[in-house]
Amino acid sequence: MAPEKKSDESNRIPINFYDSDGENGHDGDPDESSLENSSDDQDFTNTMSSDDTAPATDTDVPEHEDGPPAPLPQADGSTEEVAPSAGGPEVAELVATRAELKRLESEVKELKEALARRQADFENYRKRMERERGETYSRVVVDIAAKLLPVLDNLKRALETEASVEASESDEFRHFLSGVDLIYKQLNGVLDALGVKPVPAEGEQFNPHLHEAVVTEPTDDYEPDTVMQEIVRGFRVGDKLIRPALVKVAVKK
Amino acid sequence: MGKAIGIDLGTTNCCVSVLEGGAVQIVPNKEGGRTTPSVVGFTDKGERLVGQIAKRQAVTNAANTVYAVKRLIGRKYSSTEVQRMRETSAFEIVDSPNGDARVRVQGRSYSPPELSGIVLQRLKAAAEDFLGEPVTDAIITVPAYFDDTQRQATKDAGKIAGLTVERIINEPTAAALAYGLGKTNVERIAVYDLGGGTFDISILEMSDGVFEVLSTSGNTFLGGEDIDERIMNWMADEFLSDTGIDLRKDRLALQRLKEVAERAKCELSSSTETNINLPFIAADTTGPKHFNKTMTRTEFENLIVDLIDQTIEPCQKALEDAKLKPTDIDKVILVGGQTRSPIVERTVEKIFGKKPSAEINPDEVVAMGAAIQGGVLTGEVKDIVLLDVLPLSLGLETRGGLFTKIIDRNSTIPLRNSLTFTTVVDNQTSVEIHILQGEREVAGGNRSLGKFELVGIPPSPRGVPQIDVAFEVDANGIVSVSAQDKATGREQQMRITPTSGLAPNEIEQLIKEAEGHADADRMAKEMVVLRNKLE
Repeated sequence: MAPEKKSDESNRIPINFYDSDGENGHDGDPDESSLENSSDDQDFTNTMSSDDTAPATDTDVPEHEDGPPAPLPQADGSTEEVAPSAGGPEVAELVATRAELKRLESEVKELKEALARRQADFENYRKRMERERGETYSRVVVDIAAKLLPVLDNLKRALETEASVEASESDEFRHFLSGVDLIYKQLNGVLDALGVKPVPAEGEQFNPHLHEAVVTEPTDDYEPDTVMQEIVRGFRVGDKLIRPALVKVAVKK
Repeated sequence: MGKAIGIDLGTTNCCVSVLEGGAVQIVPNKEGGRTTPSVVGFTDKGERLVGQIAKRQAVTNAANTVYAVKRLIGRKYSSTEVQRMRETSAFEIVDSPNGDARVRVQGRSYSPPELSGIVLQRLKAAAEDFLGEPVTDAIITVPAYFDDTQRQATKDAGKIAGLTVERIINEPTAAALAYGLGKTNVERIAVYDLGGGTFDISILEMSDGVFEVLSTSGNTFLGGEDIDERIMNWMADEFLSDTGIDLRKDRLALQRLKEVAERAKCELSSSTETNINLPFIAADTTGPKHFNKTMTRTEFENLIVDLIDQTIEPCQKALEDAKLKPTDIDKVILVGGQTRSPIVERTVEKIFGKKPSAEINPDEVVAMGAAIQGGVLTGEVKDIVLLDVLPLSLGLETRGGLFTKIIDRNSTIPLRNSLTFTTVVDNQTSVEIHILQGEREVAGGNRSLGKFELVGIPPSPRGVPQIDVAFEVDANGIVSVSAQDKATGREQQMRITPTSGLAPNEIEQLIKEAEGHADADRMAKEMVVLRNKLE
């Protein structure tokens, strides 16, 4: 399969002890990665604490930034790159210095890359936080309403059930019942004031973005795919759905 | 290479994760959920619905609502798994010219990679929304026991969704990565994964970044859904004996039972009893009836103990296959939402003799590990080198229908290996290379990955020609094979796909189609926004 070739190459990245390491910039030579270990260990522990991100990563950046070459241990790199026997000590030193320079250069490049990556991440994170802050209010309302709605459901169920056995009840009970009805209305009013609005259902075209079909009924009385009955009312805040309306949907007979 | 997202493409639910600023983040979907049901619905208006929304319309559109595609991916129609699924699924599973299982919806047959691709496309879009930048690269996880065809098919699904699948990794390996294991010491890890509909146990050995799957076992039809059903049945039975009314006959009551059953299960993970309260659940001539019972954790555990006990045998078998004793296991990791129940934890502790680790959200741990692997590939994470192993042996069919292994299972990949073969009759001018994967001695008992012929061998007595057959397995566990006649240098090779799965041009076609649908989806989304504004 021809188009796969490219991905195969990048798959080779982490397995650099195999042979080549040239084709992908960041994989560098093995010495380097062992030098990097100290700082990367830290990266890895960060990845483990998945929950909070911003503060930890923020403070990390300056640490990397401070002075790229100086504070890093140098032992590995310089011992590996010992000069060949030719020439005097000066040549040897020159070779060693060049090697060191090369190593430091690639290290700076790598740190710059890491910094750029962090900066981009942080920017995107900041943007997202801003966006999310705007949504925080409605999210809180959604959470509270979602927990409160089952109470509303049950009040409604209670009133509906009692309404159907109306005739046999005493006057006292009727008064009591209309009081409960007022409480139900009050609760609805509170939710409405919070911006929690019912989702239109009965008679609407079934829409899975707003409705959840619980049962279907073959019928000729309704157009297929019409909501015949709202079983549990759905609610939303703005365009955020708190929960879908549970509905009965008409299907072709 | 931009950010690579990690995707846990599950049988019942998917989860997406990404490495951001060195920390793993779970990517929420458009509806705000941290996991997305693996469900696709096709409406008669030509819309493709994914996740929770697809689930909501399943009742009205059962034949066109497809779920658990993972059970079909990379499998033949005739396989027992597929046949078993056919018995219960409301959508139509059909055969295809190459024998692969496909799904027929609205008169068109869809390959499983295409269906998974639809889900992946939606996950990709959610990740782009979340990150505020385009996403093209992904790491996708698969069960450790997935063979080459299933891995290839999963990779195809990613491609169809417009993703470059940088790596396919094993789910247990991803879980271990999320726990930061296997970096230096040799460790043996058991990953106990009880998901919505399947149970998997895997024993891994890791050292210096090499993750070897020693053994796997499980039960493909056991999961959280069975547990919920037990609670619902308990409630229905209790109600029946109290009132004489059978709630199972009332679709609406059942819906309410299902909701509270799930909630009760979650509550009993942290508290020792829960109040199950369903006012006005039914009514008869004597008036309305309520369900109001307290369920203790002990009662709950008695209801499901036999289900959880069904996981013991696979665990013991996995240990046996790995030739290990429970005491050899250094760490046990829990994966899947069902493992939150204390009874699961106790059972696991009983099997392995040590307390399992569950510090990382078991619904998200696999996706998180995949994101970490993504970080390894982009260079963001550097102190781990992840090498996987081949799950099943690879080889050829040789004389007498025997299977000759060329690469043994559990070999660390990527790798290349070759063996020299010869002809079996005089003047034989061509040989058939039949590539197989599996552990059986008989070729027919293993899975056929593909066939090709090497022709143009100069006529000579049998046993004289020397044919080198080389197998190459890339880091994703995906195989290519080449055969070369040493005398002529004539070579023939193939990348495994033809007898199964999708051909490259088919994939191209599907990618184009998927892109078209992405546009349609965007338009549909804009329509909804506009409609909402108007209201």
